[in-house]
Amino acid sequence: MRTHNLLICLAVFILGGWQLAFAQAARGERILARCEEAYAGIEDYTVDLAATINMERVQIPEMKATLYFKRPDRIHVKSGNFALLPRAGLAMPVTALTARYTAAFEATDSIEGKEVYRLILMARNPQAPVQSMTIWVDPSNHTIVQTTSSPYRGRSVTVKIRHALQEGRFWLPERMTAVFTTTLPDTIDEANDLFAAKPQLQEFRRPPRNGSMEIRYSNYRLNTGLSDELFKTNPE
Amino acid sequence: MSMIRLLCAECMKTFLKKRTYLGFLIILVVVPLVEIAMKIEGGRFTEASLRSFHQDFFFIGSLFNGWFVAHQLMNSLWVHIPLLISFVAGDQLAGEATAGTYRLLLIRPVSRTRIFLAKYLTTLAYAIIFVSFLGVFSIGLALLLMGTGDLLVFRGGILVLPASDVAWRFFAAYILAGWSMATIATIAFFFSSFVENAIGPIVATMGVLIVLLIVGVLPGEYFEAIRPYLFTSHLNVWMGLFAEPVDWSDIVRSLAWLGGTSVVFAAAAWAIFVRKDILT
Repeated sequence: MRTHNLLICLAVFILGGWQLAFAQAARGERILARCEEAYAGIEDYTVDLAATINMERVQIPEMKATLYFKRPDRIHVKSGNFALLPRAGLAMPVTALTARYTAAFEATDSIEGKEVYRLILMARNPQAPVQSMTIWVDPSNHTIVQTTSSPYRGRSVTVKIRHALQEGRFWLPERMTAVFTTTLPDTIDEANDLFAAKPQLQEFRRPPRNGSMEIRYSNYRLNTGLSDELFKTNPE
Repeated sequence: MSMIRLLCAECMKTFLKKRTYLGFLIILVVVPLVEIAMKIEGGRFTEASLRSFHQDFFFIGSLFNGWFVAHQLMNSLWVHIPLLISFVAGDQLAGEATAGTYRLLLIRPVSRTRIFLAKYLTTLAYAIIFVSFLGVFSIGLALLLMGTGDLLVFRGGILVLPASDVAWRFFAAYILAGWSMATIATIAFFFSSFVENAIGPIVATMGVLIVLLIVGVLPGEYFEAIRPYLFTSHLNVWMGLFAEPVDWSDIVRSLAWLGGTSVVFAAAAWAIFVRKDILT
């Protein structure tokens, strides 16, 4: 009898846990779908970018570029001069996220005094470069306000996005900050380095740097009918 | 004989010699060779140097351009340019002894000091013309082959200078490089004052340069303590212009050291020359 009761309790526990996990996943997918709906009216947009980098041993003046975005996730960037832009969070095409990741609701957090939902995204493709990431969604306007991911070993990237209402309908990024941290130590000693005469050789051996990049978005032009031709050449 | 005429005569003598153009010829061969090779290689070099960025960023445009190549060339050649300069500077006084024309030169009704000055100024003129030629030719060809753009500098990390902020830096850098090479020319001229064969001053100048450059990079407290006092530590003064912000006080200090070194060696050469017992 006692064994029988124990088995029933175990079954209830497993079933309850499974149901909870299922509910969390369904809630996560629903939240992400709401984010996608919020951008449903945007077919394409063009926006001017001004980027500043604050990274150890890197000095680059403010970079200006123009970003072109077209559904579902096509991006093209043009710049008169040299510019480097973060791979993470530059344009946040939610359609690409839902296609690439499954979402599970994890908890409710607070960012800058606002209640936000924390979701865990898992890559649908086991070969995807970023297998998992955490995103925070602002339920008031269904925008992704923060993400953290580890694109490769020893690197963590946190992206914070502030949105502004465009054309009275769409919440699009106004300012984005990407913070890069590394756990790998820099072992290069420039003072006593045989390669000191060739400083570029040291750069080959550098581990990824710590630092941040801030991008300001301005002058959005929405749904101008960007040609597919524009996206034939990628930024790289 | 006026000083100007004396100077013109010395310049003519120097610039009519074939060996004076040996350095120019080498530059005319080496610079296009390096720049064409870099053009063929394309941006692979800069791409590899910035490899650690590629995982986090994507690049718009390229930092591989004429300015970058001209800067790399300037970085590489400044070690070899002293040799080419000492070819001519080391021959100024010793060449007269080798040719047996010292006595002929000194029997003219001109003081030894004025002859010394004319020869020394000719040496400096050669060094400055040579460095200017290198600058104009290497920058001109690099810009012609690879165009302009922002300049990527590797110095304690990565620095990108906007294209609009680069030309003046190169112009000033070559002026400072001219100042550095004038010091090398003075040292070769000094060695030239007490030997009778031009090979000696060339070898001696390069010997001093190599020894001091090695001492300058040796680890250890003792070597670190003497490093700021070696003129070789200041030869790359022009590199300071490719920094942001430019440390002008450091540049002025280096220029003063190089200037002081030149004055000391020129004064020593003069003292030797005016007292020299001419036997040829």
